[in-house]
Amino acid sequence: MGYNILLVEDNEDHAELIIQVLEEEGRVHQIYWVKDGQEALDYLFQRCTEPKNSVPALILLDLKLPKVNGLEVLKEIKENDVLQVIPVVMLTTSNRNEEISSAYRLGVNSYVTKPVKFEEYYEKIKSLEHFWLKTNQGP
Amino acid sequence: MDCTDTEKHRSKAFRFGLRGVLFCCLGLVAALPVLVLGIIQVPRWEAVQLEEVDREGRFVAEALVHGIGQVVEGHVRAVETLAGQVQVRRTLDPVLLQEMVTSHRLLYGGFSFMYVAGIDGVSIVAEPASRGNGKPTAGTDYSTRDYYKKLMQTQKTVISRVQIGKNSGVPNIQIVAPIRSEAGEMIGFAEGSLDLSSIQEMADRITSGISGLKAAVLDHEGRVIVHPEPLVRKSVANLSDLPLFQPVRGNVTEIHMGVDEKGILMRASAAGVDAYGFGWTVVVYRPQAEVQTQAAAARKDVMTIAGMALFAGLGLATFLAGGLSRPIRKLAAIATDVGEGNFSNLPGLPGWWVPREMAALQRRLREMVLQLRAHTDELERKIEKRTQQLKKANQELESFVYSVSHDLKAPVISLYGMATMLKKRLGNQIDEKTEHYLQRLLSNASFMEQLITDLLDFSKAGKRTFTPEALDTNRLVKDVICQCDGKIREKNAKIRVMDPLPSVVFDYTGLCQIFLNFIVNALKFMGNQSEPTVEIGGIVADEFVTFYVKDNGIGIDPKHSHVIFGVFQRLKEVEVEGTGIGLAVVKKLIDIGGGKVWFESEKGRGTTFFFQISKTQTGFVNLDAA
Repeated sequence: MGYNILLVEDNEDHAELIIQVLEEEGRVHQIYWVKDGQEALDYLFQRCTEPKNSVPALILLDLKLPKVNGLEVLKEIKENDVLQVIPVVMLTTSNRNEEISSAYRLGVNSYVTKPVKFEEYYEKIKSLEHFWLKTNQGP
Repeated sequence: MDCTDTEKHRSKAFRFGLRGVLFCCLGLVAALPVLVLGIIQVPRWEAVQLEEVDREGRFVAEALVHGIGQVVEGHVRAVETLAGQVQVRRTLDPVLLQEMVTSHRLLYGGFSFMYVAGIDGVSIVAEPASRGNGKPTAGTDYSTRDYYKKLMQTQKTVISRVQIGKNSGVPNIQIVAPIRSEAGEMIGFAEGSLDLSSIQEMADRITSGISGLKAAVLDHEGRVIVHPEPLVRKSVANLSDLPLFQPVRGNVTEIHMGVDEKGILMRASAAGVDAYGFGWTVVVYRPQAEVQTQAAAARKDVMTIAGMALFAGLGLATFLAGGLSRPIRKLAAIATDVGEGNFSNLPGLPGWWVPREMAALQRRLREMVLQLRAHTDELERKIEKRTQQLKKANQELESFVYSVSHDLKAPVISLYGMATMLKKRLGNQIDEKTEHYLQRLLSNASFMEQLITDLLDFSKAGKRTFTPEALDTNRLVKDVICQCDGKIREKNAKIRVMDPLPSVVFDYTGLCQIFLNFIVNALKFMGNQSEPTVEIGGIVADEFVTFYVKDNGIGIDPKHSHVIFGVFQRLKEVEVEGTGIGLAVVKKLIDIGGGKVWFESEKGRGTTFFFQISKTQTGFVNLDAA
């Protein structure tokens, strides 16, 4: 069974790799991929605030995004009554302490740095999928 | 630094203070005259004292001589007056004469006996008229007496030698004056016995006020007329044998010394009583010991006064030296403070009592301190500003490194990911060449990642907060060896650690990183060594500990020694993994710890890295501010 996943990633290569990992082994998730923060907000606020539409089961959010920065997107999500229940995972190359702590203050559910080696990268994405979509009981 | 140390050392050598010099000078000025005067005057004072004693003695002796003369003269006049009165009355009537003699004796004190006698030497009347046994005194024949014979001979007033009263035992002299008829013929004479005890009284009176002073009068034979001892007086001893009582003739006074009748050495002033041909000698004397005691006391007084003057002089010198040198000492203290960089002590404006040159000095020093203060404040402000700028620049650089690392990482991730995907996709169809290319692609991407990570580590090394703590170095090194256990196995290397290693106070993580980098570095540059060995040890010297990490690897060519600790300085000729940032991180950490790092190496034989840190590290150098 597939899940709705929102992927916010400006780097096309990274997005492709993530999608590749998630869609491996024939699992079908509805992955909605947007390239900047504004697009992500538009998607979330226009589509998901309507009661008939279901919200994504997981948001994978990059930190450095064009137009609207990842942290601001996070802030908007966590301040919205409907959207704040969605688990948000930061998936970024930065491991700066300031950014990690501000992400947690804003209510991020998980913070993951992207490893360079694909094997590790693969493992991390896999475990995220495993935890947030299978192990964890969502709202 | 060395120069300053030497100067400081030199300034510690003993020097006279200004106060000391002033005190010496002023003290010398004050004390010298007192000392010189004292040295000259003390012996002279003794002589002066003796002179004084002698002068006094002479004066008393002369006064006594004069007094005796006066007494005798007075009584001679008295007897002559009586004779004259009898002569004027032209009568030898006993009743009338008795009356005259009685009144005369009463009028002139000092006569123990008086009488009027005829030319035959038999007394007509006498006073007192009767002796103790009631026998009348008149009618006594005096014609056998020496003075009668002499009177008959000279027909002038005669004074007898000293007689001792037959009944009273008191020495006396008889004064006889002729009574003449109208024709000028001698018809009788008047006599008065002068009691010499009145001279004794006079001598006692004169000497009574002066301590130890005694007076004696001796007659021409050396018999005692006046003497302080009543017993000697009573016995009328003849003392002419004693040198002290040697007779003096003529109107002179002489000073001599000699023993008295008790054998005590006396200092005497002696004068002769020459009137009426007496040939008496007046001796005024006192014990020589007493004189010397007095002289010694006088000398002691002089010395005491001189000592007090000296003391007062030195006291004044201390006071003046302190007062004169105080402003200079104050300025010197301020100048010292200024020299040490402490400008908190500002000299005040000089008061009116400060001498001109000192006032100028004080004013200039004040200006100097004020200017230095202003300069220092400005410098501090500048430094503060510059520090802020540096901090800002450092922060900017830091965030630049972060963003660069982030931006650099993204394409590397893509590269690595895509290559992996490609490899997977090709699966078994992959040919050897393609696999090699893909492998190189992956390896380079991996190296790129390592570079970025190391760059971050290096920039973080300067950012970390260092906490000094007492460390068990052996345990720390053990931890580090565990961390790189994989690499050690890989190289099949032996690690030898000195036990115990010197303990130090340092930052735990910092020291771990230092050892880790040295060990990893040593393992990395082992070359083809068949028995790779790394040796770790430490030596304590004074306040420092020098650790070393020794390997038997490929060694370092001396021509590269200057670039060993630089960032990304891996020597191209050696094919090893890594980015070459490890030693740069070590150097940075040791710099922060205030230590130093160096190495000794021989190409092909191995390298020994040394680093020296303080045994009791308390503070770390803040590289951000530097």
